[in-house]
Amino acid sequence: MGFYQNLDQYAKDLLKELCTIGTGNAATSLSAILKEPINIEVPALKIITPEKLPESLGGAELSRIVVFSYLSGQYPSKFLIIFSENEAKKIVNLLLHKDITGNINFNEETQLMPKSALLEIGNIIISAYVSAVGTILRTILIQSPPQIKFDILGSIIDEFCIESAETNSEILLLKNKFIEEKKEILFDIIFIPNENSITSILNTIKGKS
Amino acid sequence: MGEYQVGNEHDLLVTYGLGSCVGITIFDPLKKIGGLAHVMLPSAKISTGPNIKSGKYADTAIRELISKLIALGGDIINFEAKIFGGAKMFSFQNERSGMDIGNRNITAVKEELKKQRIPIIGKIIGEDYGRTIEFELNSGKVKVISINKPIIIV
Amino acid sequence: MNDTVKKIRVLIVDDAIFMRTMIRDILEKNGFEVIGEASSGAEAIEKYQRLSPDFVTMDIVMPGMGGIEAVKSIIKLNPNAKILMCSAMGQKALVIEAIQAGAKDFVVKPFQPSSVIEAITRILEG
Repeated sequence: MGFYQNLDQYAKDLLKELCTIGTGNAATSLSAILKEPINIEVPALKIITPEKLPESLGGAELSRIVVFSYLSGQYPSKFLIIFSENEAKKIVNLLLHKDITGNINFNEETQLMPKSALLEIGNIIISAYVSAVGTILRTILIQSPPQIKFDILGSIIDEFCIESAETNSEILLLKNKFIEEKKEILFDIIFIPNENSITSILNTIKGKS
Repeated sequence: MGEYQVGNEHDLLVTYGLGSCVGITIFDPLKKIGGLAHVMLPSAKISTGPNIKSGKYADTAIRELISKLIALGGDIINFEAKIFGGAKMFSFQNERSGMDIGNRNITAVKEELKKQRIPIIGKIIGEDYGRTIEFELNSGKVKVISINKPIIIV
Repeated sequence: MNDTVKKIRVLIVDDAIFMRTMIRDILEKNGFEVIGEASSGAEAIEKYQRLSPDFVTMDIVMPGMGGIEAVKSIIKLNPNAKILMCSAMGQKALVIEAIQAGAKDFVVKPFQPSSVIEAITRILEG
């Protein structure tokens, strides 16, 4: 319990560095797909208990778009990337040069392409982080196919919160800001290490450093 | 999450975004009092954690809600329950925790209500989407709100 | 590419319609003919048999049967099949497995149109 408090400054810095590298990778990927330069702000990393997650994301009642993927293998863990409707619409516009008219509704035929675009962007961003973690750990991390949901935030995260609460694990929350020309794209990334995997990740980092 | 609330005929009890969690409403139509629990896990028995919060678990939350309603003047003979949520939001491939917590929550809630002899007179459960519920204690009706879906009154 | 030359016929395999559309766009702008799309490994094998494409672009991670298994099956059907893997970042191990299974090369998503075309040209000339 409270793995983060027990870290020394060096390990904390490494963890932050890992996030920054991941964000850098993600920006490079996004920039390639948008064919536009993307600037980033250094992401704000928060380590929180599962109970605090809904409020840290603005409230359980908000509607949010979430792309989810999990890692199996040596370091089982989960990644969630969370966009507000507004940010999702900005991304769709940048990618498809078309606006979503009206509300986001992935059940609608006309939103098949925006849904797929968001899923793919989520996937590309997540794999940018996974790749950063994999490089530092010098290991191969296998990522599941991504899944996407547009739903009430509370309902999207409750299962993950439950699992972390049961194992007394903490959750890593990363607030990102990408800037494309004058447009800012904000999104949150959540990394939920399964029981033991954060400890082994940190041990590996420490052992190798 | 992991809490319960009670009130009388002037109140509207709300809980946001039930995913795999289950919302249980218990209503005494004669006394017009009722309560709403938002449970996360099936049973307090399985938890080994040091800070057991009884409102989190189906069994303990339902029992506490019942005693609270009785303390407020309710009569267990009149109690009627409705249950909501217990969805499976994401799928996992052969994963240890692919335990379908939603489904297990539903089973535990049904068992506990049966044990307490409280009939379940309405339910909107399972599937793969979230639900916000509003429990109106004047009528005992529950409004179920989901994104991009029609509102349902139970 | 010259119009009198028979166009190279390509099968695109990716579970994301967005990705398939993007690849189709790149290929068609560069004179290739996209004769089919598949969104899973199983569909890829079925379409490969039915359409006999000259070339296949293959995603690696897909729900159900993934790209590597599909490569293995296609190579069994045609040991000379020309397959280009499209992988996300950080899937090096899977890429290596795919190449061992008979895929010719890989590109990493998100890719520049030029790198896809270069890889395809290299494979076709090889």
